[in-house]
Order: sequence, then structure tokens, then C-alpha cells
Amino acid sequence: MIFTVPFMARALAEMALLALICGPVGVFVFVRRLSFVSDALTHTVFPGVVIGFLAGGVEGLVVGALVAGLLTAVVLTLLTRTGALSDDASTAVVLTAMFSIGVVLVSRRSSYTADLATFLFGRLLTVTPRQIAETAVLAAVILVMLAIAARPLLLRTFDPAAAAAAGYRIFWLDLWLNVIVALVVVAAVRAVGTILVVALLIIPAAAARLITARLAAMAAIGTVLILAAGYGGLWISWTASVDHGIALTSASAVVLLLVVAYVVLLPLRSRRPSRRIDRRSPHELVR
Amino acid sequence: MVLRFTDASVGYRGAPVLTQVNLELPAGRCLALAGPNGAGKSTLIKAVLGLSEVLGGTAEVFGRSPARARDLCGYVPQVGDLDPDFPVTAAQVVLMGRYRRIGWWRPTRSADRRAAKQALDRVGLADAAGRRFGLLSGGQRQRVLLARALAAEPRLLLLDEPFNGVDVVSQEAILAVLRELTSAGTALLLSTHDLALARDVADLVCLVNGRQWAFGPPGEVLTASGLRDAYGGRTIDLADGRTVLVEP
Repeated sequence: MIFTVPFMARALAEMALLALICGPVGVFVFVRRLSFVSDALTHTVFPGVVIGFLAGGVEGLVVGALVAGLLTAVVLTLLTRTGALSDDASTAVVLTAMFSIGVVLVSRRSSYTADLATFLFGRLLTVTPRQIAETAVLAAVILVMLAIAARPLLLRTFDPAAAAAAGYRIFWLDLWLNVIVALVVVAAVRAVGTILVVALLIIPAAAARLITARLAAMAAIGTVLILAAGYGGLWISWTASVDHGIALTSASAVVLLLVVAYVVLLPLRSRRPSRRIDRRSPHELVR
Repeated sequence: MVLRFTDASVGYRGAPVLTQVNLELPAGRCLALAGPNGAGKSTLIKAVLGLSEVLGGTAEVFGRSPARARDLCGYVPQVGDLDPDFPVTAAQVVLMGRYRRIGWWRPTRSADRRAAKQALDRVGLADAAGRRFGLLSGGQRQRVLLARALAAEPRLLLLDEPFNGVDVVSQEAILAVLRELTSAGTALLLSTHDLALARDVADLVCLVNGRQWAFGPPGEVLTASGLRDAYGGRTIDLADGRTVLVEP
């Protein structure tokens, strides 16, 4: 049993914590169409990670990521609020600017390539008990933040005009959700890296949406998918490298399995809605 | 008085969209905002909610400034603005009307679910509670949005073009609910570009197009000369005394 090996057990525990937060948060990212924003956040956290690492080693990494993530959440919310730029354009500007700063910073180091790979793709197998504890604290904060604002966030996403009419401040709700996404990126960045974390946020919810139209079910299915992909990905990368001598990073194996789950579920989407509509004639729709 | 606008100008970011608004709406009455597209009807509704700016004159909602009266107002937006792919059921949409009462922390209480169920029942869609919002017809969706506003138990209900793209059955269902509301003392403000409907439904009509052109009972406001003023002369007088509007 490979998960009796301590570092494999720790990797699995870390994945389980990430599954717990990425499932529900991913649903909001999906319905709010924030996929690109979360992608931007993963890139903008990158220079923070590098600066944190240069200043304080592995311990400084999370602090750097946290500062960069929160800063981007504020900047992105402000940029999209003023309407000076379209959501897409302003997000892309912030994304590329911050990412290049990160690359410039990391390229000054002699161990450039190895460092870059660590920041971009994470190190799931070297997760320490302390890292797990930190992820657990972040996960608790994220879940509480989400629970507090879940209803207003849902209304704002579905019907912004009605949310404003009900007295909710749209700007603060947008900032709240962006901060939640930033915290998820921070929590996941050491284990799966800045590039792959976006997969944990987007693919599970998108895959779950293929088989259900219930928000709570989407969150639950998303969590289960990440758990299953985490377990399967770790197992595959272990088996590939130990039994067959093929080097396969565990985080990429996890993400690949998520993609496979999405592709497998894809045909279900085309079947379900058409079946539902076919059952009712146009006359029944008019009531 | 539920609404009192005196020489009010309303608009966005300092630019007026609708000027010279003088109107009063008592409790239990229905006021129709009539005018062509882009006349400023939605801006006036937003002004009542405190979401557009009052740039001149005064605007009072229940004797308060608009933003302070939001708890007493219900709002039914145009159904076409909503994403039909959004994964929510009709019951979940109606429950959104209770969110302000539930608050940020507390879980949904059974009283809230009951109020939502009653509201859905009132618009005749009790059996559609578990159906996905986006799979309902346009008219049914409009009724769900009306139910959501009802669930908040407002004393002033604002409806933005509630009959746009709505089938006859749904229109009748909505009209029945609106009549119940006014007889129970709820004030209604609805925008419409359907003048015949405004004449049938409303106790008061406010004719707008960039500015307010007329305000009063439908019989006094919806006259040939009044319409010619508001619509810029695009009317045709028929031999039998009726007037036909020609919208560009």
C-alpha cells in the first residue's frame, strides 16, 4: 500500500484539503465566469512567490503569495469596476505584467530552471506537516468566508441588478470572491504550482456541471473528483516511477486525470438537455 | 405618499437621462411609466431604488431618500437580462427574495422556505419549484421573478417591462397578482411601452421621453396630443377618433 509511505500520505492529505476548498469555490468561479480571472491570479501570485522565496526561503513563499494574491484581487476588482477596460483586457494586462516580473526575478538566480519548475508546477511529494497545517488554516478561512457570503454572491452572480436593488454592494461582493479565489491559489501554490492550480479550480466544477444543474451537487461532485484524481494521480506517478522507471510529476498526473474525467463526462451533456426538452412540446412550455 | 418626485432630474454620472419629473404615487395604486425605448423609464425605476442619481429637485420614497427605502421595495428586472444556463431551480430563485431577511450568517429558516413556496404558489407555479429556471418559458420565468419580489413582502413593487415577451396566460397570471397587490395596499410602479396595457392596468400614467410630458389618470394622459408631444409627432389620427402611434 503506497499511502503508508509518509510522504505519500502527506501528499494525499494535502490533496484532500485542496479538494475540500476547490470543489465549492470552483462552483462560484464557474457560474461567475471567473475562469480567466483565476488564471490571472495564478500568474500574478507567481512574482509574489519568487520574491517571498528570495527573501525568506521556502517559509517566505506563502507570505509572498498571500501579499501578491490579495493585491491582485483588489487591483482586478478596481479595474473591472471602473469599466475603463473590458474585463478581459484589463485581466490580461495584469496577468502578463505580473508574470513577466516573476520571470525576470527568478532568472537572476543561478538555479533558474529548477526554481522555475518548482514555482510553476509545485512539489506535491515534498509537502511537510507544517505546510499541511498552513493549508488547513487557509482552508478553514476560505470555507468560512464562502459560507458567510454564499447567498449574496449567488444573487449577485445570477442577477446583479436585483442584488444591487436589494441593497448589496456589488463592488464589495466582487472583491470578496476575488479574495477567496486568491486565497485558494495561495493555499495550493506550493503543492501543485501556479500553473496547475487553475485546473483544480476550473475543471472539477465544469465537469460536475456536465452531469448536474444543482449548485450543491456541483460542489460535492467537484470535491469528489479532485479527491479521486488526487488519489489516482499519486498512485499513477508512484507506479510509473517506482515500478517502470518513468518520471511523472504527481501534480501533472492529478491534473491529467481531472481532464480525463471531464472528457469522459462530456458526452453526457449533449444527451441530457435534449432529452429533457424533447419530452415537452412547445405548447406545454407556454403556460 | 409612497413616491413623491418634485422637479426631479435623474441620470448617471452627472448626466441627466430624464428631467422635470413631477409625480406622486399613493399606497394601493398602480403607476405606469410609458414612453418609447430609451425614454428613461428604467432610469426612473433605478432612481426609486437609489441606483441612479437624482441630479436635481427632490425624490422621496416613503418619505425617505431612495437608498434608505430599499427594504420596502421589491424589484422585478427584465427577464431577458438573465442567463438561462445558470444552474438554479425556480424555488432557489424565489428564495433569493428572502436573502436580505435571512442575513449573512444565519441558515435558511423554514419560515423563509414557506414564504418562497407561497409566493411561487401565488403566481401559479407551485409545481415548477424544482424545475431549472432556464428551462421555463419566458412568461414562466417572469412569474418566478415576480414571486421572488413577492417573497420579500414589499410595500412598493417596481417592475421593468414585466410583459415583454410574455405569453397571454402568463400575462393574465401576472395581472391577477398585481390586482391582488394593489387591493392589499401595495403600490406598483411598472414601465411599459404598451400603451393599451398601461391604459388597462394603471390608475396613473406618467408619459416620459427624455423629460416628463404628462402625469395623471390614463384618460387624461394618453390623449392624441399628449402622445404626439411625447413621441415627437409620430402619430396618425384615424377617422374614428382613435390614435395610432408610429414608433421608429
